[in-house]
Order: sequence, then structure tokens, then C-alpha cells
Amino acid sequence: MIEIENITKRFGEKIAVDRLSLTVPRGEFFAFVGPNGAGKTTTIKLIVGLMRADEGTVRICGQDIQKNAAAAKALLSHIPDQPYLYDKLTGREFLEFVARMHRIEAAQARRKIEELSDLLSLSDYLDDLAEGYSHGMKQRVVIASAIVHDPKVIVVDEPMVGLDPRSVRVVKDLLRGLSRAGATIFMSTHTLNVAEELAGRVGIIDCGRMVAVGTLDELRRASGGAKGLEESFLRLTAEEE
Amino acid sequence: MAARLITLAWVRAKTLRNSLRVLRRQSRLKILVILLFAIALWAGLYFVFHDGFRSLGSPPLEDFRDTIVQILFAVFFLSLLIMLTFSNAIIAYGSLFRSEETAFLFARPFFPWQIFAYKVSETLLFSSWAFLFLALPLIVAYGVNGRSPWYFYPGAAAFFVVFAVIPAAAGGGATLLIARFLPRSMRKALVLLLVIVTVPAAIGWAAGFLRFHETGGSYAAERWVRNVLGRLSLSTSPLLPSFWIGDGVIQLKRGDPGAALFRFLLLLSTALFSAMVGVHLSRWFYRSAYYRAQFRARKHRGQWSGGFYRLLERALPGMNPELRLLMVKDVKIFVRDPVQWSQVLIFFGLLGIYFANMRNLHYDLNLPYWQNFISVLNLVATCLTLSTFTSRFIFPLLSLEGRKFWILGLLPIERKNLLYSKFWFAFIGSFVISQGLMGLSDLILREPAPVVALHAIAVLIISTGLSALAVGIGALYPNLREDNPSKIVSGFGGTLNLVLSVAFVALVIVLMVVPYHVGRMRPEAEFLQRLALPGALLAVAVGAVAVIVPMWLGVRAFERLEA
Repeated sequence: MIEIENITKRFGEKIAVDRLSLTVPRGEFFAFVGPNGAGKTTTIKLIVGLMRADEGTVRICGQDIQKNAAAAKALLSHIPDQPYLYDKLTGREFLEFVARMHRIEAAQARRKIEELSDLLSLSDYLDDLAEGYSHGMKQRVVIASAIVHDPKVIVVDEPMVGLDPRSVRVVKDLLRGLSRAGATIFMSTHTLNVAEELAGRVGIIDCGRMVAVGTLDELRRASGGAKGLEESFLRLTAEEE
Repeated sequence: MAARLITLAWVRAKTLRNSLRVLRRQSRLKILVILLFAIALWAGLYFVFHDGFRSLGSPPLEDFRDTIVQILFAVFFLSLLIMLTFSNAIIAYGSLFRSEETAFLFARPFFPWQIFAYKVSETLLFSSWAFLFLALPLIVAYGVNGRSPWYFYPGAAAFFVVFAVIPAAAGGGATLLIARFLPRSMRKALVLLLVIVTVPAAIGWAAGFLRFHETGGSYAAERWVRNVLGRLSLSTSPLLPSFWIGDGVIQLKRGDPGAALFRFLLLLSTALFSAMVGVHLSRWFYRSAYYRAQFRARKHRGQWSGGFYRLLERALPGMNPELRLLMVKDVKIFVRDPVQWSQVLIFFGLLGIYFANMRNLHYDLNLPYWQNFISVLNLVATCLTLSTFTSRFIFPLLSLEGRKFWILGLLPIERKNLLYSKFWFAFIGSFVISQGLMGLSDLILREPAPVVALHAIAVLIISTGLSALAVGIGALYPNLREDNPSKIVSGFGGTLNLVLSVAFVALVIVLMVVPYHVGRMRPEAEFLQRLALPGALLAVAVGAVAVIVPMWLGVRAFERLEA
């Protein structure tokens, strides 16, 4: 579960996130959309603890991400928009590193890595140095690293960028399955049809403020009867401008 | 065609102007501190060089002053030529083949030679600014000491600028040819070969140079100079650009502008020719080399390397398992990057071979004076090399996490543990290497147990302090947007770390080691040996400050760091 209470983040004069509050309950698939520069990535960084809010709090399954960072991060994982890996480690070494840092017993970690390797088709290159990977290969390794420790909350930033259609399908099914199994998914995306397809609720952020949150039907009503998420998005963000 | 190059230069000028604007918005205190450090370093170097040139003008060296200066300049500029060529080649590889800007430029209507010229000129600035900054006090001190004519100063500056072009073109061209023609599998072998060939060659040459006093019993000054000249005939060859710049500066000081101009024109024509060769190479090979460099063959890692790292992990008992994992990760990354370890091998390999060959260098090690002098000199050399190592490799470690910071930032551990893991990685590496070297030195010099213990404690304090300074200041001044360690090190934090590291080494050695050795060298100063214990206690206190303060500041800054 993610509980965001009144968070604000400023960069000098600019307010990147403005008194944002939101609760994403256990097992929900939440999509987070907004125009470029609306504050999506900053919000994600505040949720996962890579940035510190000037005001407000973020709790992951009841653990404050700043005050009990280690406990909160044990329950959390993050898939960033750019999959930067250690070039001089192999994919397997990276996955083992992440698993062991989460105190997963070695044999169990190996089993889990094999499972994920089959699921995400990593086996052809998992023992090669990451410096030779393509963007898509890196992205799949990053996705594997995000679920190797069975997190309760997964925060995803543009997960489909760089993936081929088959991998997109695998990742969508994987995230949907995790959500059904009880994991909370918070996904930021510009691909509105992916949000429509996967999310139970969608939040629209603009100029650092949450302008609308709800199911697709609720958003349609809020935007005056728009036909789909795209039209709702355009109407709601246009009103803000 | 030149218009496109002008466009690139215009973009670079705009970038520089914007960077200066950002700098102006930063804390005035920070800018003031940078300026003060630069001025202090510059002034310190100036006085050291000035004093050196003055002592050359006094008996018994005064008759040989010009010859000695000529030798010194020849050796200095030849060393610079070699080091700058290496440095340019290393920086050029990242700049020519790995930079995102290069990919952008290749997708635009620029010719490869234009991109090459633009990127190599950038490399020249990055690799040569420190050389120009450090050489300036040397030349000004030489000019002031010799009461040179006014045109000495602008003339010398012109020599330096033109000289810097030669290693930049050579390094850029060499990188281009390696990337284009050398099979990837052979590149690591080439680095090893370079280390294996250059290190013993340098040692053999240095050993020959230092053996001069064997040639006679009276050490007549004239014979000494002739001997040295003979040994240094390679560096004083009139065919070398390094000789032309040294001799040109000397001619300027002597007030012979005609002779200086001749050397300058030799240098200028060589610089232009090197640049032209570089441009032609880039016309022929840059595009194909670029395509080749983009393909990274997949390197498979076998079981044996996994076994080695598991063994390494088990060799760190009693340590928090997360810290061990983080350390082993850093070791893997370091070991798999030949650019990193080859430099360490050169740094410490040279010292190791020199220590191992000390007996062959024919110092009269039975005399207490020489034994103690060489012993302190070896400690100073080891610790200063160590400070270079921590400044070059440990300081940028945190910054190099840069875009990968999300990995560490998401781990379920306290952030301070990440810093502690870097500290232990630095400390264990530093301590093992420097203690090994000092142990070898003490063994060859047949030092008694108390001296070995004194050196061991000094090395322990210094390795701990240098590691903490590099890690702490690295966390205090991170540069998460830069991938090139050379560029990270040349910033404010890197300079501050280097200056503080050198000062720390000097302080610990002066407090703890020097009094004891001076007491052993001179019977009339024997009482100084009794200062070893209070000196050691003071050095421990200094070491504690060097560990606690930067680590405390570093942890505080790192816990607030936002990626």
C-alpha cells in the first residue's frame, strides 16, 4: 500500500509537486499520467525515496520512506525509465547482487533468477557483461531485478520503452499477475492505451497538482463525457493550462 | 566546411557561457575557496621552483646551471609529452566513441574529420589544463630568477599552447587507429604489453641514471654532469619536440629571440603536421572506427571468476554481509576495467620495481645517513603515490554511480553503509598495496623491528586517512551527471581532496617519522628519536580527525543526496 500525504517538492522557485495526496491500496494497479514536466518523475522519486519531500510524507505499507527507509525499501521496488546497469557486471551477477542485498538465501535466489530468466527470456545473455546489452535487454534485466525479491509495492516509470511487442505483452501480463497476487503497482506512463488496459484507477497530474483521480468512468464524467482516456486527459489538462 | 567547425565552436562557447552563469549563481564562498586554493597551490609551486633555480645558481652548481636546466627541462617536457599522449588517448576514447554528443553529431551533417577535430580539441583542454596551470609557476619562476626580457613571458606561453597540440593529436590519432584496427580481444593485451614494456624500460633507464656515482671515486662535478648527460641523451635529442620547447624557453631567457623563434617554428610546424595527420586519419577511419566501437561483443564470464569473488567475500570475516557484497561488486567492476587497473599497476609497479632494485642502485646502504634518507624517501614516495591513487580512483567512485544511483538508492540498507563499503574497499586496497611496498623497502634496507613497526603504523594511519578523505569529500562534492572519472577528478572536490591528501601525508610523516630518522642520521640529534612516541600519538590524533570529519560530513551530505 502507498500512502502519500500532502507532499510538496520545490526546486528553487519552481514547485515541481504541489500538496499531492493519494492512497493506492494493496493489490491495486494505479496508472499515473500527465504532460511532460508535470511532475511525474519527481513524484516517483519521492515515493521511492530517491528524493526528499520539502513537506508531507510517503509511507510504503505503513513504513515512512524517509524515517524507516531500509524497512520501506525492503517492501518496495522501482523500474526506472532509463535502465542503467553496471556495465562490468553480468546480468546474473546483478540479479544475485540485488537478491542478496534483500537477504534472500543463495539457493532460493538462484531458483528465482532461473524462473525470471525463463519468463523474460534472459537466458541467452544473462552471463554476459551488461556493457554488450541492447536497451531492451537491459530493460528486461531491470524488470527481473525489480521482482526478484517479491516486493509488496512496485513503482514503474515507462516500463514499455525499448521493448519489442512480445516483451511488452510479457511485461503487461507479469505486472497484471503481480497485481492480482496482491502487489500494489504504481505505473507512470505516456502510453494511455496501456494505462486504460491495465489500470484500475488513473491519476492525472499537471503542473505538480493532481487534477483528477478515478476509474476510467469517473474520469470520463469529470471531463464532461469524454469518449476515452485520451480525450479525458486532453480536456482535463487543457483546463489546467 | 570551416563554417561547420565554427558552428561547433560557437555551441561550445555558449555552453561555457551558460556554465559560468550557473557558477555565478553558486555560493560565493565556494568560488572564493576554489580561487584561494588555486592561488595557494600556484604560489607554493612558484616559491618551490624559484628556490630550486636560485640554488642552481649558487656554488658548486653555478658553472653547470645552464646545462642542468637544459637537462631538467628536457626530462620534464619529455615526461610531459609521454604522459599527455597517454592521458589524451584515454580521454579521447570516451569522447570520440562513447559520448552521447558524438552520436548526435554523427546524425547531423558534419564530416567525421570535423567531429574528430572538435572532440580532440575538447580532449586537449581537459587533459592539458592542469599541465598549463602547473607549468606556469615553473616558467615564471625561471623567468623571474634569470631576469628575463619582457618577451620571455608571452613567448613561453605561446610555446606551451603549441606544444600541447602535439600529444593531443598523437593521442587522438592512436586511439582512432586502435579502435579501427586492433581486435577487441587484443586491446587488454595491448594495455598489459604497454605496462610490461614501459615499466621495466623506465626502471632500467632510471637505474642507469642513478648509477652515475659508480664511475669514479671523486664524484667530480664535471664528470657527474657528463655522465648524466650521457644517460639522458635520449631526452636531450634535438629531434624531440620536448627538447625544442625546453631549449626555446632557455633561448628566450637568454635574450636570443632568433634562436627561440627557430625552435618555436619547429614546434609549430610539428603541431600543424600532427593535427593534419590526425585529420587525415579521421577522414579515412573515424566513421568505420565509430561503427566498430558501437558494437560491443558480449563477454561471457566463466565460473572461475565467480569462485574467485566468492573466496574474496569469505576472506572478509566479521564484516556486515551487505558491506561485503557492495565491496565485492566494486572489486569486480575495478578488475574488469583495464583502464583502471593498468594505471594502478603503473603507479605502484614502478615503485615496487624500484624498491626491489635498490641494492643494484648502489646506494651505500651501510651508512646510517643513506639508509635513513632512502627509508624516509621511500615512505614519502609510497604515501604520495597512494594519495594520487585515492584521488584518481576512490574520490570519483560515488560520482560514477551517477545514473545507476537508483540501484543503490533503492537497496534496503542505510545509506551510510554504502559510504562505509566504499571506505573499506579503499582502505583494504590502499593498506595492502602500501604496506606491501613499505615492507619490501624495509626488508631491502634491513631496517630494525622498531623502524618497521613505525612505518607500518604510519602507513596504517595514512591509508585510513586518505581513504576517508577521498570517500568523504567524494560524497560531499558528487558529480552524478559525469561518466568520465578524469573530468570528475578535475572539479573542485577532486582538487580539494588532492590538496588535503598531500597535506595530510606531509603532516603525518613530519610528526611521526621524520624526527626518529633524523635522530638516527645525526648523532648530535639523537634525542629526536624520543619524539617518536609523542609524534605517533599526535599523528594518530591527526589521522582520527582525517577519518571522522570527512566521513561525518560525507555521510550527512550523502543521506540528503537526491538523484
